[in-house]
This record gives sequence, C-alpha cells and structure tokens, in this order.
Amino acid sequence: MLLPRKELLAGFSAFVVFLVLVVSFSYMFPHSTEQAGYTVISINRLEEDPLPLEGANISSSATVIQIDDSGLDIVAEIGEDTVLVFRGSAGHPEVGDRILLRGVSWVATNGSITVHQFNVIDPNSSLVRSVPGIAAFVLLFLVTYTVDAGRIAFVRRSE
Amino acid sequence: MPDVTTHLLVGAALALLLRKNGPRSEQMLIIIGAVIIDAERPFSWALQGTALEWVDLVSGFHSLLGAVALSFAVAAFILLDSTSLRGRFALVLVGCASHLVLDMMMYPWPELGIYLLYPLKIAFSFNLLWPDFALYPLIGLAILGAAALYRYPALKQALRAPERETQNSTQTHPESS
Repeated sequence: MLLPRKELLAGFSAFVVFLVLVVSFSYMFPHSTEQAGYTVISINRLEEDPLPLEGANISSSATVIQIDDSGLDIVAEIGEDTVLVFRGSAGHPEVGDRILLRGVSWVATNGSITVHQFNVIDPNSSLVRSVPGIAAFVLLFLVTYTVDAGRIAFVRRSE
Repeated sequence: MPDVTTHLLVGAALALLLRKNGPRSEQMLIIIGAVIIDAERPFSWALQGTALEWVDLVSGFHSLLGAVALSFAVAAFILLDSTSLRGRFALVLVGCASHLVLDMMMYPWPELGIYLLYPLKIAFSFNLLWPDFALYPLIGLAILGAAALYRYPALKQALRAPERETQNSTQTHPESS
C-alpha cells in the first residue's frame, strides 16, 4: 500500500486543523466585533435573532428589491420582513442595487433598519475581472507542474 | 476584494523581484501564494443560504493564521527536489502576504477589512478603495511593469532607445528642428 509522505501528512493535518479552528471560531463567536462602532452582521442572522442588536449600530449588506418613496423617507424592501429607511441626506438607492450599509437596527420593533451610510457595489465585477486571472493561473500551473502519483505530489515538469 | 487577476499580477511581480533567475517552479510558488487565499470563494458562495452559512471561511483564510496554514499545506503538496519544505513554505507565504496587503486596501465595512489577527476580529484596512473598484487590474499591471523595469535594465534601455534616437537625430540635423 502506498504510504503518504510525512510532509504531505503534516501539510494535510495542518490544513484540517485550521479548518476545524475556523468552524469552531465561527460557532463560538458568531457576531463580528465592532468595526468603527458598527457591529457587522448578516441580514439573515439579524432577522433570525434581532433582539441582541435592537437599537444598536449595525453594518451589513443587502439587495434592494423594491423602493417606496413616500414623502420624507425612502423605504427600500430587502426581504419579506425587513425594510431599510433612508432619511434626509442618506442617499437614494435603486431597485436591484446591492448595497453595503451602516445604520441602526429596529428589526425586532418594526422590521426596519435606519440607514446612516450606504455604498452601492457591483458584486459581479470582481468575479468578471477574476476570469482572466483564473485562466492564466490554471495555465501557468499546468505548464509548470505535473502530478507525481507515486509520491502524491505536484512536481516540476522537467523532473 | 481585489480580483484574482490583480493578485496574480502582483504575485508575478514579486516572483520577478525575488526569484528572477530562479526556476519557474519556485517562481510559481509565489504566484500560488498570491491567489490561494481566495480558494475559499467557491466554498463560501456554496455555503450561502445553507445551514452552514455561519462558517466564516473568508475571515479565516484572509488572516495570518490562514496564510501560514495554507502556505504549509501548499508547500507540502508541491515537491521540488531542489527546494526544502521550509524554502517552499517561505515562497508561498510571501505570495500570501502580498494578497493580504492588497486586500487591506479596501474599506473595512462590512467585513471588508481583513482580520489579520484572526480569530481576533480586529479589522485592518488602509481605507483606500471599494471592493468593486474597476481599475484594480491596472494597479497589478503597473506593479508588474515596475518590477520588470527594475529587473530588466535592458528593457528600460530599449524603452529609452527611441527617445535617444530622436535626440541624436535632432543634434545631427539641427536644421530639421
């Protein structure tokens, strides 16, 4: 039977231990700590358990699915139960915008988040720009290395 | 976050600066390090909307702890007889460091700064650009270009040659000006 190299075992073990740590830390510390006075949280998580952050500054991201421009406030729906309220100089998002937002959570009280600041981002732009890089990387990798099944490793092609 | 193309270009620039005359297999280790941290992307996307959405791979991978663990794993999987495990690890780690520094150019909200000292969730960011900044690849190209000019003086001379020819012809034929 083929025995994996010692190095390989060590590298693989280190990676598995790292993944276990990431899962453990994610479980133990589900909320990000504050960033510049705003607690980072996903909208889904906020909707599931809004009470701990009721009235607190939160930072999150959402997609605007509907806009209701009713007088002083602009209300943007981001889900079935939650809306964003943009007041005064906070700005004006468009339907379909993916936004990063900072504001105050009132999800437990009335299902709203009062937005202080927001920025519209294009989540696909990074992916699109990554395509040439991924293609070039795969090409370079295949040109440089080949698989050595006997040693369960990638080795340089000329070897 | 800056795209894979930008990370690859900066990795190539570092490979040029640090291993100009080294074998391609060693240069490639730096490039692998520059992009490997984003290997969590497909898995993070796959986890979105599932019961495991709470697993925060992004923060874990984009940290010093992640860089060390990934560098060690990659170094163990790529076997170069002329380079020790420690040497391979160092080269991949250099690439990973370039990735983290580039990602730190972004605004830190929400969760867009990086938790360098993960699991301590203290965001580090230079607060320079939004993550969807369209010209990131140009920054990568500029860095690669600068590295190439530094490493290949002949290239610099070649770029200056037409300039010099123009000056010479002006001196030889002053009446033409």
